[in-house]
Amino acid sequence: MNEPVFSFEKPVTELLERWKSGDRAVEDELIESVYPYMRALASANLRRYGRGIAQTTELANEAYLRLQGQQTFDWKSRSHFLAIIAAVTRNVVIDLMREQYASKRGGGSINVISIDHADAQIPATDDEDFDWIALDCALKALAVEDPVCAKVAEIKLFSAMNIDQIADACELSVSTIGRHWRFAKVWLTKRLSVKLNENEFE
Amino acid sequence: MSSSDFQRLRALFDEICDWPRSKQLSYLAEMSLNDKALAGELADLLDIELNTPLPATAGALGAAMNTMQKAESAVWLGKTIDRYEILEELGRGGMGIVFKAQRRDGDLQQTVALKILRRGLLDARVLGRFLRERQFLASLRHPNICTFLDSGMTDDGTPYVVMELVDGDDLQSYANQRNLSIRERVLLFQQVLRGVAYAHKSLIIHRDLKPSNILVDALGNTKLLDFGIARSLSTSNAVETERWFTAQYCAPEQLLGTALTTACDIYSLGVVLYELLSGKPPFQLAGKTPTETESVIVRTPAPPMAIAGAKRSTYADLESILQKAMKKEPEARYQSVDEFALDLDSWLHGLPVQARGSHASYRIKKFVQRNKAVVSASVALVVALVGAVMIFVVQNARIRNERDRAELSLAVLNDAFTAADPLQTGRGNVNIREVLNASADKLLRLERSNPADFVALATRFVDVQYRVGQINDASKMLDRAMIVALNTGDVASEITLRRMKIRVALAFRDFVGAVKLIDAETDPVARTHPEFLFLQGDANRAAKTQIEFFRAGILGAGLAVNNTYWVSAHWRLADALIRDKRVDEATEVMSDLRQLLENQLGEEHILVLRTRMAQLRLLQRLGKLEELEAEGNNLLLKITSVFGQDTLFTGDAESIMAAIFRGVKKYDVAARHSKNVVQIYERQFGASSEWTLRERLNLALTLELIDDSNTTEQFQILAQSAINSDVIEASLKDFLIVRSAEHFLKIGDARLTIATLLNTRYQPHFESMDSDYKSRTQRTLSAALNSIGCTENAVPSCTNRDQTETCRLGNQRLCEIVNAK
Repeated sequence: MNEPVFSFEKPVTELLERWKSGDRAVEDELIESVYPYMRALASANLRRYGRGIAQTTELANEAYLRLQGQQTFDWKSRSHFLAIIAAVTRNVVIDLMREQYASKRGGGSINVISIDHADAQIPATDDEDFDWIALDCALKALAVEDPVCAKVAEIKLFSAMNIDQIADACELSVSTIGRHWRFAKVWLTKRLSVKLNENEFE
Repeated sequence: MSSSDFQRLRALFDEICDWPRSKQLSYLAEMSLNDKALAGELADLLDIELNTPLPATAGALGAAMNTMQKAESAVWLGKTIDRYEILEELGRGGMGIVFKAQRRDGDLQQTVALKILRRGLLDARVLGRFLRERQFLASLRHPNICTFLDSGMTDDGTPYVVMELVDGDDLQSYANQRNLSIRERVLLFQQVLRGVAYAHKSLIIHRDLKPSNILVDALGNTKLLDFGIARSLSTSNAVETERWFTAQYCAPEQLLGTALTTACDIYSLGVVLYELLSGKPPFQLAGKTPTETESVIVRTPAPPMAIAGAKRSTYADLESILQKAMKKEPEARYQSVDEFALDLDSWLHGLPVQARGSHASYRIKKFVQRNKAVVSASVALVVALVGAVMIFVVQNARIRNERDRAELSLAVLNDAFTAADPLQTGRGNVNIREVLNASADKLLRLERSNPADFVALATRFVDVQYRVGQINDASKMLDRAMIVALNTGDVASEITLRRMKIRVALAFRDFVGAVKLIDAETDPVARTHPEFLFLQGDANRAAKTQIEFFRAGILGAGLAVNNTYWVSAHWRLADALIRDKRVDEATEVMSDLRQLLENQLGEEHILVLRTRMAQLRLLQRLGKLEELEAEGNNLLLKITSVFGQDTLFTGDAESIMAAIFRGVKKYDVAARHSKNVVQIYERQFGASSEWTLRERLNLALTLELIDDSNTTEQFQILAQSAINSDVIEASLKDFLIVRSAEHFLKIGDARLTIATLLNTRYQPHFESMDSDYKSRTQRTLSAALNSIGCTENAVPSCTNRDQTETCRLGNQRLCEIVNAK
């Protein structure tokens, strides 16, 4: 099987080492560094498997396994790592969606039918037509007010971690995580419906 | 909204979210007097909480990609490709998107299915062949194969295939919608086999057989889609280069990338039939990574089917047919589709099926099958483990991968053993022990060469040994691993090993030793580990202290819902609560646990069933006999339908039921359960195994209590099996024999009493015999001898030589007993 070759620059390994030893300040940098890798993996999976196999969960798991295989140290805190991967996955998803929207709007070969027409044909009720970009914006807004709550929501939405693992990753109790997620869920939902309504006037 | 408003909103929401709706509403009303905006916002959030779940909590990326593909489909709609006008999308899969299309070719109007292939699937070399084979594929004509009409390339080089348009449902939905019986499903499937057989004779392998590729048209004819396309897509040496097929239905060799033959279609057909009959595919692959998926497909045998509403015995032969079709080794499967079809035909006509094979191998196979993932998977996995460990020793360069594999094997193995021996009695499957010992030897070779890996693997290994009840072996491995862990400074493993040491001490019932080990643990992290708390609970005998530890351990985060130790801590907590006379709390603990497990793991999970078994004991203690009987029967039905009638788990469950009913003096019910247990154990372990004999004793004793007419017969079998057994301990043997003899004497059958005690195959050692059994043997034998007229100074009778001889032997035995004192 022709696996795409992914390799890390040395600094990434260093970042991982620093992060592993407890330096959470490097997290953003780390997310940026893992991004191209996840992006390539997502595209490769999309190309190779099409729909169905390219689920977020599997992607994150596969990324984890491969990264683990490549590094010379053990990943003791799988939960922490998966939390980072959730952030990366979010970026990958949002970027892929953005490009999709851009190409729809921008004409070119894909623009066979107008957006209005496409929207009319495809009922916007199922998950597939969920407005991920709006969700991303809402998450950003939530992060301004309540960063921990937003982080919990991000992991919940973009990883397959269960509540215990999330608790582990965020170093919070299970009940606290439950409260955060409950709030995030309703708050985001409200934001999304408002946002969608505003879109009508654009 | 200002930041302080947000903080208030958040705090209020958290606080009143769980209130009753009426209370929420009155609070909101009051609040809106002072702060209308915030109250409105809060009311909105509470409304949403009440009414709307957020869509898609997982699978965001998958959803994103689907949206993109939808756009891809939109690109084609309304377009004309060569002679075909694209009308609507019919479906999509790993290979591409299928459209309904209209052929516009002069006067010729035909509606067809047009599949646009995923571009990445073909490289230039393969593409050429794909186009060259058009003619050949079009020549493939059979009523059960969807006819290939044409293929070509669009302007931008995307390949497409045109096929006959079949108006119908896929196999699974067709059968379900019409609620077809098992028999009708098999008949329908026979058609599928005819199509595949035809293609195989034309030297074409399908390679992607799955329910969605098999349609049933309005007339009830099955139609196979995509025949020949797969072959065209692969390279000439027939080894897969791209994994575009569906893992669930693909043969192990397909994943391993070895050369493919028609055997790969036979495997997929087996999986399709399995799903058609039972409604479920054999493997649960959702959420598994590609690596895990591969491991399951390549190593784990398919578990037996569970067909709702059908007795297992009615489809035992079908089960064998499926197992043969789905063999991991291609050469062990049916050699041809015709052979497969023939066996199904035999089943339809009630004839013996070939799949069941010769008698001896059939028995072994049956044993493995009955215990499904259980024994067969475990042995297979241990073998895989041995392999992994060996490679490891040989090839250090690949060590990390191999270690991961070995660890994965051990993890799966652990689960398999939990299922194989759910009550963790560690009863003896000798094979497993032998294989484990062989693995242990391999493992020990790493002690010097790779100490770090040795510690990691040995730690998991000890857990496996413990779970299969090999406490002695576990203890030895534990000590060695501990030394190496100390030398290599592997603190995490050290902590786990210390915990295992406590567990082993408790298994030996060395409570003092266990408490010492617990007190000696100084690491604060180790002390707060939930499992450590459970062990503290186990080591303590006082109910109140136990309750505290179990509660603390259960509430402490860190253990998954399916952690056996976590779940069983609930059972022990309930037990301690009962001893502390807090029956209501115990009931609540158990019903909450059951609820949680059912929600998280599903009703059929082994831990759910075991929890329900523990609940039976609770009902027994509460004296709720009617509920006990009803729930007991329900549970048994459930266990039988999930695990099959003839499995250890079912046997164990029946055994518990028997004990419970004996406890409440419902002996007839108890005897019925005991009888089932004896049958199951006899088949599983043999007539003379300890487990069969113990349960047969229970059965005989129960029958004796109600003066059942079969009592004596049961004691006779018991005595005979005990005498013949070379696998049980002497003390058990002595007890079973003397207890049976006592029964024979009690019913006045002195000859049977003597024949039993003086059986030539029974040579007891009175020097080491338990004094109670010895005196009982003496008492029983002399009473029996007396009643047939032997006295100590028996005068030899000329009329009955046999009796004289019996008296002589009996007196001799009595002397042996006296002398041994």
